[in-house]
Amino acid sequence: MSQARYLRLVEANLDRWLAETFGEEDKQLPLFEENRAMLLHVLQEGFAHPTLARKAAELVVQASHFPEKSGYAREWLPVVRRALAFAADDPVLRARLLNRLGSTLAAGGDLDGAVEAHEAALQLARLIDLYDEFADAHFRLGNVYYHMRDLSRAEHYAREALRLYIEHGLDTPVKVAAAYNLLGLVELAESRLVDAQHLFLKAVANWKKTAQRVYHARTLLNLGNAYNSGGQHAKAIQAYRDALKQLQGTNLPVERSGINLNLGTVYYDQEQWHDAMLYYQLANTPELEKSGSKRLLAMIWTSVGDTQIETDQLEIGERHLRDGLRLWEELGDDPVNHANALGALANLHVKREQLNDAHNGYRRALALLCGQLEQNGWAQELEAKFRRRLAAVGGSATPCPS
Amino acid sequence: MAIDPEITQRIFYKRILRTLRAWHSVTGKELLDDLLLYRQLGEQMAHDGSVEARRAVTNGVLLAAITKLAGSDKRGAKVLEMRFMDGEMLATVAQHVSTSVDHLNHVQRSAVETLVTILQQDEQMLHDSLRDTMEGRLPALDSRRLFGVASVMDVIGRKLTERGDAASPLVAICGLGGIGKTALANVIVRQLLPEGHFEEIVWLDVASEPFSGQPPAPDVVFEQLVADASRKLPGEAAQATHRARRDHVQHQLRSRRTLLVVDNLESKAATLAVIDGLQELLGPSRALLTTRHRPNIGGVFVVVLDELPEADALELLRFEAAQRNLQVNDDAVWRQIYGVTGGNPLALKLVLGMMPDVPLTVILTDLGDPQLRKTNALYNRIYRRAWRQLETDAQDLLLAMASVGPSGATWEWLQSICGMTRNQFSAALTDLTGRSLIINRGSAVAPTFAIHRLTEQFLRRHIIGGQEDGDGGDSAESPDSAP
Repeated sequence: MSQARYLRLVEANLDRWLAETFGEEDKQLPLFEENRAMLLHVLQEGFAHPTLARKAAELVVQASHFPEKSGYAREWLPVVRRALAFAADDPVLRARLLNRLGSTLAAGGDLDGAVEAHEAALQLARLIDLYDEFADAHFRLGNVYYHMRDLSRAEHYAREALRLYIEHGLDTPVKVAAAYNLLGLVELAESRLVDAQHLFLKAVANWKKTAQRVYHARTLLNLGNAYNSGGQHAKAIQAYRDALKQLQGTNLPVERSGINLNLGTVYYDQEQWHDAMLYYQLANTPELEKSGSKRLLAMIWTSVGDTQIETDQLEIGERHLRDGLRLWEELGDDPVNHANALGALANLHVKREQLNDAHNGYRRALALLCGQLEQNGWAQELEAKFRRRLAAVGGSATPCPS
Repeated sequence: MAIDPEITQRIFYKRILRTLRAWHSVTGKELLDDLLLYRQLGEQMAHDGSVEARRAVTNGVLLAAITKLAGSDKRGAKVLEMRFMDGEMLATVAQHVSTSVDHLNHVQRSAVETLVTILQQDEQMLHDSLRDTMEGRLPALDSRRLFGVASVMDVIGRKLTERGDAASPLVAICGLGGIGKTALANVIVRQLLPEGHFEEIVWLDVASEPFSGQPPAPDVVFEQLVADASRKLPGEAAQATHRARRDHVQHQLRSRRTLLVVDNLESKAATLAVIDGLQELLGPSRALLTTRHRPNIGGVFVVVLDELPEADALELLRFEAAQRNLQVNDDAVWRQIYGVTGGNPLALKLVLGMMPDVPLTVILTDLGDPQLRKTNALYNRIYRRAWRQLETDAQDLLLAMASVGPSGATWEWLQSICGMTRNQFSAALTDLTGRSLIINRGSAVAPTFAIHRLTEQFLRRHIIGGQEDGDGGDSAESPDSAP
């Protein structure tokens, strides 16, 4: 008697969660974050009763993107795995859950596990002609391979996803834009800048048909990076400004800081120091400080210090550079940016005619760049620049160990 | 010995005068960086922590006060601007405002005195408003008074606020379920609030239950804690990664003296993982944990909560009875209840909740078996008796509470899944609250209704599990491990 009453209540709970997690995601995220313990409990209760297990598994399919986005992916993993146990006889549900499992694993940092799950989803979806999950499995695989820096596989799967979306009439602007953006990122990473720009523009054209302003802004940022890498400064500036426009009214100050930093760098590259400083200052917001983002702060402080040294504000420039260097040392995972900051400090020593310090600085920067030169165009540029400058002040560099 | 307020006022006056005089100084001295007003303005202004930036924030605080001063004393504000902001000599300013140097001195002194008052008032208002905001984020208090914990409260309060070698960045309250760990942490935090020891207070309920029989791995519990803390602390993480969230939490804890309350740690491994993780993040901040397991590691000040002794238990019963309008004037009754329940506050309150409907003799006979004290069976007996007294709507609501789990849900959510009218729901909720079967885990403004884990375990094992009419309530299994 009580058990029947209880089951009705659990079902009402599952129905309520299905209604709450359906549709637009931005508004729902806080509800998930505030009540995720309840959601886990309700799912657990659903799985405990055979008549409700399928509904619980469907809720897992629908709600999986919340924990992926908000830092609870590893907590969510056993939930997806439990749901899979109830989908053994339901290949459609199983394929959908396998794709969610892959994305949850990827969000929790297990990229190999993610590939395995998406591959399984792909095979199963192919077998049962489940075109949407088949196409999505391709796209998700492309994404994972991009994060694994396996660019050829990333490109292959992203192109296949795009083809499948179009072939099966699944080509909603959101899916197409995301696929073009991923393809653009692959081209950008391969330094095929014209192709990257072309793809990002196609992605932007599709984002314009949606209300996805944040993703739209991120693609515009990528487009700006592609222009800037090709020396097309005016177009880069326009793309970054368009990205900032998309973020107007959103509560993403740290994201805006990142774009302003890039804008500053475009001006820096053109030796327009005043404008560069202006955007670096716009990037350095209290919200960024609050975020504790060492990487972005390190980039900004290094850029500010570098620019100040270029404009002969040596004392304050040195302070900013040393602040930036401290953060790069703390992070310890970005030798190219670390080398850039060391090289900038060496430039300061040159200006002060402290040649021994300058030699040491360039040599330390070059040592950090060793091992980064094969796949990183910027590392190659920095290496050539620091070698030239070291030679110009009478120093000699040791070759990289083979 | 208390310091004479006049002396404090005089010291502050001299300090503000020195700060005004240092308007153009670049030495990094005479700053107002200990004031909340400085902190608030500093957060609004982008600054890199340099001496120049800190001076700019200090001057900003002074300028805001001078602008306010101009509302009541335009001439005084002008004098302060010319003297300190423009750096004019006394004689020049005197000439400008057509007065003598002596009189100008008098005008300046009076203006600085008013400025000091304005700053003190603004600081107090900001302090009060921050305190109210922080208090609003705490869970509602289950009971207006706690018993038998006064000395423990003092010790924990001191440990959390001490500085230097005696300080203990981490304090853990350990004890069995129902013993009052959460309530104690809540009251301690509320007592510390007005004293202004902390700029930020964050309450994290990390209760997690095993999924598929597997408790969450300790590092996952810590990862969730970081995600929760990152969401509740000011600012946002730069990216949606654990590393970025950790950086955000670490930055916030190191730059603002924060009290982090981590409530409801379940397993020993999770407790140790959280302690280990927090030790790296805290900086000047402090953490207060509630856990069922005593962490035997260094660097943590541990307080073990035990059952209440008889005198405190009787005081609790008397107080709670008065709250519920129960007319009992004989301490012998309370002693009899204590005799069967022992000093566990939750058990005492649950028995009180039954008293309007069930004769005391029946309750005492029912719970009188000495074997019950040694096991969780005492609770099961109490819950079974309470369950049988409930109307159907109240039973349904209690089952709904079990379906949402110990974290609870809002009124609206619960009403919708129960499918009750507002009046039906309200009556059921009032009944269950009066019996201490439902508690508010949210704030007073935004209540979240929940049940104690022991209540949930009873419902799961003996009602939902289908044994409601049997006598299966005397299981020797205890949900708690001894701390």
